[in-house]
Amino acid sequence: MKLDRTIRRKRKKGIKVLGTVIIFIVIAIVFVTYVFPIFWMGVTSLKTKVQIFDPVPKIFFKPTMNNYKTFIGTAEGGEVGAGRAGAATSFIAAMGRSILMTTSVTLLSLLLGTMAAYVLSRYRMPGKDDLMFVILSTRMLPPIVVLVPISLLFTNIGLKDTYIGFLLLYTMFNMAFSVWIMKSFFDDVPFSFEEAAMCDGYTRLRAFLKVVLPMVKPGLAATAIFCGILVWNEFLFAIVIGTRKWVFMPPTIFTMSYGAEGIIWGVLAASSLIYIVPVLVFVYLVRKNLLRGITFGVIRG
Amino acid sequence: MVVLAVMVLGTFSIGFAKGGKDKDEGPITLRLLYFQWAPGNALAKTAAGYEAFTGGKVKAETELPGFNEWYAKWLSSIQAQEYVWDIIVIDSQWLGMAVDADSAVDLTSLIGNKPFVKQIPPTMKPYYMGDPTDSGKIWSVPLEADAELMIYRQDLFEDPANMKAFKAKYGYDLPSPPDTWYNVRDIAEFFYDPENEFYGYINKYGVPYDVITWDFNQVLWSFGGAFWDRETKTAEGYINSPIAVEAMEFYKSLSEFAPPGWQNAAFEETVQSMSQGLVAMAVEWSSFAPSITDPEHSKVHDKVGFAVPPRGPKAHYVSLGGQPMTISAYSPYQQEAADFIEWFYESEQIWTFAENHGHPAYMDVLSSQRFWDILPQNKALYEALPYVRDIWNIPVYNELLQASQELLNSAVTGSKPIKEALDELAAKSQSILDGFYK
Amino acid sequence: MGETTKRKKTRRGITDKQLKYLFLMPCIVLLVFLILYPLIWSAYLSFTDYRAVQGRFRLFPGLVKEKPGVKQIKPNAVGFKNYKDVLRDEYIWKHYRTTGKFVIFSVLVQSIIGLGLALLFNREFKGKGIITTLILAPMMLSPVVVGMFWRYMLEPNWGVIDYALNTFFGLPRIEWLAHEKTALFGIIIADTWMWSPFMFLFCLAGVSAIPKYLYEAAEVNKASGWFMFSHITFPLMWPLMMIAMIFRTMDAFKLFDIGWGMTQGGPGFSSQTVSMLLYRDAFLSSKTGVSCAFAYILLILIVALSNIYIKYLLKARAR
Repeated sequence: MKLDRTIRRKRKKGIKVLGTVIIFIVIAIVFVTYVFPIFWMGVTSLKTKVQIFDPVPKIFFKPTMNNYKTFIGTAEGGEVGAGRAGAATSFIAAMGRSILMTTSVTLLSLLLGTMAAYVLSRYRMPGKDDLMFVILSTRMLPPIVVLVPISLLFTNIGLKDTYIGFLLLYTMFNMAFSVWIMKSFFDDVPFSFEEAAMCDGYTRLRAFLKVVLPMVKPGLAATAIFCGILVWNEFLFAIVIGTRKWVFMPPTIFTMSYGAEGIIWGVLAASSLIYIVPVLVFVYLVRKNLLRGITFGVIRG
Repeated sequence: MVVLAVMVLGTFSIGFAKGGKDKDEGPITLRLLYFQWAPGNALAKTAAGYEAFTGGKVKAETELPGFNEWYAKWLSSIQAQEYVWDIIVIDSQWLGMAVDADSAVDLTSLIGNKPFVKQIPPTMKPYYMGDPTDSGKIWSVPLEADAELMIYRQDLFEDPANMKAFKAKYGYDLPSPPDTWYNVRDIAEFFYDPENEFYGYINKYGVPYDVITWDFNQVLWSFGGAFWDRETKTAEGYINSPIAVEAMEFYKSLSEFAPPGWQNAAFEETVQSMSQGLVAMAVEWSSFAPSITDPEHSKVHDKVGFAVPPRGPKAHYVSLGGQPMTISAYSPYQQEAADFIEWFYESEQIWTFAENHGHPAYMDVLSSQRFWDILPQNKALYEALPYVRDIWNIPVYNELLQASQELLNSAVTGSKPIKEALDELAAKSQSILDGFYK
Repeated sequence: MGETTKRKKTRRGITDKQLKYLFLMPCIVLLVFLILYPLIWSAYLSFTDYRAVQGRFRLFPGLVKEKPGVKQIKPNAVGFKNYKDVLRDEYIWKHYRTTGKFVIFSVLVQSIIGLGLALLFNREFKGKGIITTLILAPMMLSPVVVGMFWRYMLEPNWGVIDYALNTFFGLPRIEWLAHEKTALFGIIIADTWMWSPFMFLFCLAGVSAIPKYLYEAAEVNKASGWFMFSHITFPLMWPLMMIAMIFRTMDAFKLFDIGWGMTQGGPGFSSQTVSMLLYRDAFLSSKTGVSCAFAYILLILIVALSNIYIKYLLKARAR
């Protein structure tokens, strides 16, 4: 009898171990599939053009750091670097601008979106669903349609190629996402929490700030990430509205990646990899916030 | 909370401090726009000397975005009628759009009677300095002259074993370079060896930008056909004429000897196929070719030859590309820009441009040995001069281009029967032309 | 002392109504300010034959002082001609079919992958943080770069993917982007690679928020894995997943950068989605009037479809 139970337990454990191993194999396969192209970009960034277009792609070769150097602007000689309009496209300047703009827009989008989402979540209003839908519809239009009118509008108001112009424009792009995501998270926090707080003497505003907001941190993190990524990689309006002064990184990457023979793929790969590092770092830092749910053990109906 | 507030305020205040637009102070800065490639860099290097010449009063800054961005930036500035640059270098076909939008300055009085204009090769003049409004005005000045060239593996062509085998198979000597388009087909067939990953001929058959239209045109013209008639603004009966069908059938037959993926081939694929030693022949713009002879970028850098593209049964034409300069109508510095252009065309500057791998449309340069020694393809460019031809620098150029790219590609890939595709193209082009001119 | 302070705060605190407006207004104002003008501009022009390269069109002439040298134009009104032309164009529906194929395929595949990955990752293991972050890397790249780079990888002559398939699996070199049937598929692959992490992230956020005691309770009652999934996991993560799907669908409709970088709609126009066609018409061809009509038709279509789509999803949620 005792032996039976031990065998059964061992078998159960065996199955469990096997199950875990399979799961880890799957995770590994998934990981490799997703990361391979990025790995390949890394490999490409270390190659010269002859090697990049070789019909037999090699993994083992003599690597060169030239592409990275070109991008950062420390490469010696060569034609890449000549004729760039002043300091506007230098690596550090463009990176600084991109970081500044992304941070600003993310903060503003979070601010406006969270405020609006809170109101839309908590208050009864006539036509609330319609309003939500209208907000959503601002994201449905392909950007190319609004390119010319926005360009004209900005020129007339004097917002062309300015910090405020880009700030308002990119925040507007992010509004729909910000509002919808945050509202969904707010909807999951029962009103009883604010009620309790207000009974304790908190004002509505304070209850919002001190009680509700901390509970929707995953929403804030998710919204921040995606609003940030959108601005970080935005290209079309960056090249059209940012004519001289506000030259961001995505157009700069392309400017740097062209040479006498067309696109220097090595530089393109190198610069793209460098450019995602800040985002990766940011996501890694907030990942705990992202995944921790509402931990109050709330029963959802 | 406090930390967050500080961060927010800090960010915004940095932003506002860096603030708004540039204020122009000090010397007048002429802004030039071109794109990033060898001739672009050549322009930038040459223009950089202008500040010294004017004693610091005027300087010239060149903006060199990537190729696609150049197009997008210019187009959006035209569509919004904005002042961003003073001198804009445009692709030759865009002239119609620039003039139609009144965004290019009429240069007839500013430049028209300057001595350097005489230096511009007569066959190029109608295209680089032509008038889309057909009223004899001048709107642009050539900067970069470009034509399609035949690039071929001279080492293979002149290898005695190959020559012998070719003569045995086809009955005539292997012409090095190829003499007619029919030669090209025979040679492509001869060298086609997919098992060893070597192919005969690559061309830009793809849909991106303007590639297949320009590459097909020289075949079309050399067969005696035409895309349209400029006088009567008619496409119907031209692009779908029996000659055009014949030309397309021939063009399509060449694709049998192309490397895989040819249906999508654009600049990159063509240049790389040659540089990696995958094809025996390629037809490509001379300005895109420098890397093929660069040991850092090419496996066959010392094995290729450049020549004028071959002639057809009825005529000999070569597609003309290149980029002229225009002066922006919104610029407050039009006279300064004209002065700059005049300075640029002085012998010293033109040679600086040429030595940095630019190709000026300047007879004294193009015809000199010194120019031919700079790059191997320069001599071929000069030899192509009598045969160059361009099309469509009219305002509706882009609409015509979208139609022709799609339909020519459909015809050559076989997704539509040739006659049907060409008929459709003729009908579409005709309706576009009618819509604009009638 | 404390009591007085509290009362003071409550009196000076913002009232509910003020809060409502204070919070909602900035968002609404921003949207109105930046969306309204383009909408009116495009609406007006959709009834004209205006081409933006012809000259400057002023919606409210006289409002802004005109710079010298800028050509003013009063566009010709053509009534509903643009709309009729767009709807009657023989190729429009092919483009919509291509777009529809793309949207359905990619959103479906990405959702399934995202869901699967989320379930897979909903456990602790070493390096989870780093691995998860790296899997999110694809969507952090610029879409233009992703398109171009995938084009390079899928190239039959020197692309690594065909090389690997050839060397390790003995398959012939597939010309992904050169054939009509497979060009769109190539774009779907690149788009899925880039955006399934998006679905993965939202599903994971939803899944990891489910309190553990629910599972424990179910286990105690000897519930099967499937029961737990369909009655606990799925319903509780559905709200977030649904929103992610909505946004993914809208973005898939607008797909441009990846597709353009890979094929520019080729070969022919077999892989051209509606937004690529819009780009050609609105921007490259400068057919501003016609493309405004096209854009409005597209907008109405998307609005109608998403209305149905969202109502359906919300009903599924209520269930």
